[in-house]
Amino acid sequence: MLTPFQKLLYNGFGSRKVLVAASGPCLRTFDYSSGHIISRWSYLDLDAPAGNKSSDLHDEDDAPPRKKHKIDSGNASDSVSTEILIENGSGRQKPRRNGFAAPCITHLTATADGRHVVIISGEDKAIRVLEMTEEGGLHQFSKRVLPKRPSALTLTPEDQILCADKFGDVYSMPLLGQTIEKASNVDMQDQEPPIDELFKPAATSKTVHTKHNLRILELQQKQKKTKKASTTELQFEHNLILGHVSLLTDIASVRLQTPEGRSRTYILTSDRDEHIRVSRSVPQAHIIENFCLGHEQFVNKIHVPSWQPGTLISGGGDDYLLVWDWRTGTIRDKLDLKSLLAQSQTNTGETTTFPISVSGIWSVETMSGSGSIIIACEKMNGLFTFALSSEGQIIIGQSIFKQLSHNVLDVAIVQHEQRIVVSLDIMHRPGSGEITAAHDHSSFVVVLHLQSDGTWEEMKELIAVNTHAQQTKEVLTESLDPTVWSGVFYNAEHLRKRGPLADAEEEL
Amino acid sequence: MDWSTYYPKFVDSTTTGTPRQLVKDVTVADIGCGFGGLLMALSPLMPEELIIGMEIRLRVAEFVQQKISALRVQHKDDGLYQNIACLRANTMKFLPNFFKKSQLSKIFLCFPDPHFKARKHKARIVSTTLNSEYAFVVKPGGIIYTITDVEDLHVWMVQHFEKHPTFERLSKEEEDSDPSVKVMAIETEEGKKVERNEGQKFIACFKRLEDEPWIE
Repeated sequence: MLTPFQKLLYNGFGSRKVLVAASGPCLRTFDYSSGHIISRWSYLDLDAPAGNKSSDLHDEDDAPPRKKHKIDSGNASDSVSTEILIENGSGRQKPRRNGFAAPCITHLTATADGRHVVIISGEDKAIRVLEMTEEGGLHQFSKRVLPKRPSALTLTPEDQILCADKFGDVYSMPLLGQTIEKASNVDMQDQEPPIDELFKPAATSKTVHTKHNLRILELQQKQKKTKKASTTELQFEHNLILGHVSLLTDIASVRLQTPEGRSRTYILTSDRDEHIRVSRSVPQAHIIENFCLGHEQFVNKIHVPSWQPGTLISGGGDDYLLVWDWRTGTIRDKLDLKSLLAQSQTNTGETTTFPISVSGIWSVETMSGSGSIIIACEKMNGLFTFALSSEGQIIIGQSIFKQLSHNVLDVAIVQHEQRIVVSLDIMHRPGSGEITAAHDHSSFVVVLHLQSDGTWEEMKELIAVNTHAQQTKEVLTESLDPTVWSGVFYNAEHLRKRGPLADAEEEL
Repeated sequence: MDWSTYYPKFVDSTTTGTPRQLVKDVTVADIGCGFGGLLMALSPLMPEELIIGMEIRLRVAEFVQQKISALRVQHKDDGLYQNIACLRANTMKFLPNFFKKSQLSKIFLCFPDPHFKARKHKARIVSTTLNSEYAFVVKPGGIIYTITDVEDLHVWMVQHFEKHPTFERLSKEEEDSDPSVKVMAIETEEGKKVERNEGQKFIACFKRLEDEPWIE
């Protein structure tokens, strides 16, 4: 029996229809129709000696940075897991608290043609491009390691990778970029001033500054020579295109037609500090066109529906979603998720007391030029859905909370069938992160079909995926302890700031 | 953003509603204003502008606010110091929460923390990515003034502004003819300390250019 899929993606490649599902460090492909497992790709195999190296065009000997191995989730209460001690570069030992010996997949996307799948993991800081075979299998095409832990990923309409990191920087790089001798393109890259062979202190003794800075200066002066700038240049083509001074949570690339019929591409970025920024796309990403300000808590997800490219839906730590005209930064509509949930719970008698964290926003377009927006919240066993008019307004009366058997982990969109495949967390009790025993017949996924009245109907199809996922003998060699998985599945709520002195360290 | 409590003499009395509107927008920002020496000096120099000092240290910001209140009381008769105010803010994170696009005509970055360690360079107040935010709030033709006694940081700031396509460094002549530059060099607390220590001061000013035409 498999473990639940923290990431799920529908991918049509040629005539192939494939579900790409990530369980911890494993990425499997299922045949969408028959439910058969086609292939398995895993971070665990990468460390295995020799053998299936043939598929790796880029060898793994450029060891992933060993400096900081932080947990996938800062949710300490949930991750009282086994602590695996690993050695880092400086010889000190730090626990790797996600409980796996391998990185877990945090982001999963595919190109429009379905030929390439892009994954990232915060753990090894690497962007990996996988190529889909005729049979629907995956093998690694390239691996590019970023300087900082990546936190968001998207592809532009031109198939450029945009990847953001937790320090707020956004890099662009070609999808099929290769490792090169020297990073040739350092557009907005921070270039250190050339350092003299001999040590030159950063300031003179006449510099007036704080005790703290003076102490650092003294330390510098004790050193005989400076080491070479510690930030090693990245060995592949990349551009630092923009940056927030905050953890970057999501990124979107949108192409719009101007009234004159010209096409303009924008980059939308959201951060932990309530901001959504609208920038021009590369090569003019240094020009900020606008900000969408209105959230009071962290923004975790932003989404632009295909039929309404001027509309943005955003959500995160607030109890509500905002619908924006993102070109002007004006709020078009607001949907209170908590009251919508309360309405649905008056029927069942349940109450939700924990804070809402939006963990996913998706949309399915209908034939009539409108569509349905789908919202998942962390540790919540259901989906919010609402219809969005062609004017970008929420259609009252079509907003519902669709209850499901388990907490939603991810949603795969099957646009041409107007269906979604919802990945469920069968390890944890619905509505919470509490551990529960998965039954042999628990459904890993459910399929919902969009009805003409805007509601979603559960389909009895794709049972096959569940059967195959349940029956496979294959198990992770890693821990199956559900406490470990909680950190892999749930990592939005820890973005919430705690206490009034959230940025107290900056007061120093 | 409710500015009415910061500039009570500039509240627009012809309108009602909350927050109360000002008769004009803030156009000058001293980011990292410290103990407010530059604000006090700029106030009579630019009586028509509303000037805001922004300081991240809560207690320092409170001190400057009290100092301005005291000055306003002392100058009740001539009405001086009504055009300056100070607020506690982390501008590196929240600059666009305070100003709309092209609102400012001048930003002062005086003696910012040099953050010597390479690892802390991200914490510096000038970086190419952060400069995009300065470009957003400053109108074309507006100027960003920088001064430091740390040559390393000066080189850093010049490099990062010059690398940004929206900024152009002012020439030495332009700098010399700008009265704000002189005030910045002598009126900040740090500037005075540097003078006492006979240290060096490095000045660089950058003009915000028009946005380039869209590449479509």
